[in-house]
Amino acid sequence: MTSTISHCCVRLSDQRLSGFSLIECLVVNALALVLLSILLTASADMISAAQKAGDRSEQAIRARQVFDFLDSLVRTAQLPDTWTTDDITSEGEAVQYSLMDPCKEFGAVVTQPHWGGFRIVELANLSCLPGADTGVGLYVEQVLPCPDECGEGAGYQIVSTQCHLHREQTVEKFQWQVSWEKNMERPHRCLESAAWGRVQRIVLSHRSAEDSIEGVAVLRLQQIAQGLEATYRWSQPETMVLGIDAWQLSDLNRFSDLTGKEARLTSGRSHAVRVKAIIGPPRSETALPGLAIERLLVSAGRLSRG
Amino acid sequence: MWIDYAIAASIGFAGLLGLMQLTGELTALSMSAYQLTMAGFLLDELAAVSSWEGVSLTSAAQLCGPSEWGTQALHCGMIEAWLRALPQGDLSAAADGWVSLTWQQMDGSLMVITRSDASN
Repeated sequence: MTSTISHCCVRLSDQRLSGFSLIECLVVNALALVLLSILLTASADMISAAQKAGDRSEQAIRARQVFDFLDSLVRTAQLPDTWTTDDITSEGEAVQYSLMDPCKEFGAVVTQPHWGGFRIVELANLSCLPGADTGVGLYVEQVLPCPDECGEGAGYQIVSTQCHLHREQTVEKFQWQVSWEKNMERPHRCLESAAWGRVQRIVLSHRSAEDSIEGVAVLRLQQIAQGLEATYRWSQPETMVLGIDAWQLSDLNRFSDLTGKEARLTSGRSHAVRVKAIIGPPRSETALPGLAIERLLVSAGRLSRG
Repeated sequence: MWIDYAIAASIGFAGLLGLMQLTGELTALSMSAYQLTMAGFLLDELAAVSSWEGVSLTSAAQLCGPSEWGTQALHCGMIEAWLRALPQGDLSAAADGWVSLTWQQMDGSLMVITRSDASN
């Protein structure tokens, strides 16, 4: 019996020697917890920084998409280059534009030397736009060359007045005429070389978060309805981009004189509008301010990506 | 038991360090995308200013660059602000009509994008 107890004690004593004491365990655990908490804090900070950088990048990319779209609108807001480079229209005339009232429909056949352009409009004055808000909008009149870019549906077709002339006939001044057509096929009896296209009108407007159905501020787009009926009407606004917190437009072709009256600059230069948009953060929980981007949109020249 | 502790601790550390490395790379990637987008905006704005003012792209770059008198000659919009937002951002014009925008990325390497009047 004695020998058994003695053997047991020796074994217990051996076990104590090979393990940790309670103090040692506590110290090790405390050290491990301190290290773990430091690492977790650092990781959380880094994850938060990565999330913020990702959100900021997403804001910038969204801004890029908006302004690329605006650039593409402005690029087509004049007669295409291929229509004006063959000495038919002089260089000075090529950058001019003739923009009609958005609410004024085209007549049976409208003829004028220039088509396309863009300008700032007061939405409150445009009674023809369904669902329009107050504030300002960007009105764009595009000229889309057919058959590549104009689509097929009914709409306003633009064609040269020389289209129906015989080769030996000429007109004094080059003119373009617009009329409603059921489709955008090549006009009948038109010369092979004659260009034709579609005239499209677009209004971009902004709606604040309080007024929008989505609960966030949006940029909206409206265009002439392309129905088969020849009634001139504007479509309901479509949401183009979500999360545009603010949108400001200023016309660089207008200036205030000393008396405070607004006047237009001479038309020899190209037309320009300065657009400022504040792009909201992609996630509301991210404490990130809106990204303000200001860009100049110029009618002349073909702007492409950097 | 010491060995077990050491192995467990090293695995944990390696995992956390890997996570930190990953988040660091994600941050760098997002920053690069942001800087590249801003640089694109800058060159687009420069092209628009040159078109509006009727000067060449290189002239616009010289006038909108970081010189004290330059911004008084042209209304350069946000070009200066964007240039400041790019680390070590520098806008330079070459004699052959090319404009180059250089900035330093997070990993220390230099990024250069160029543009010419012909691409406007």
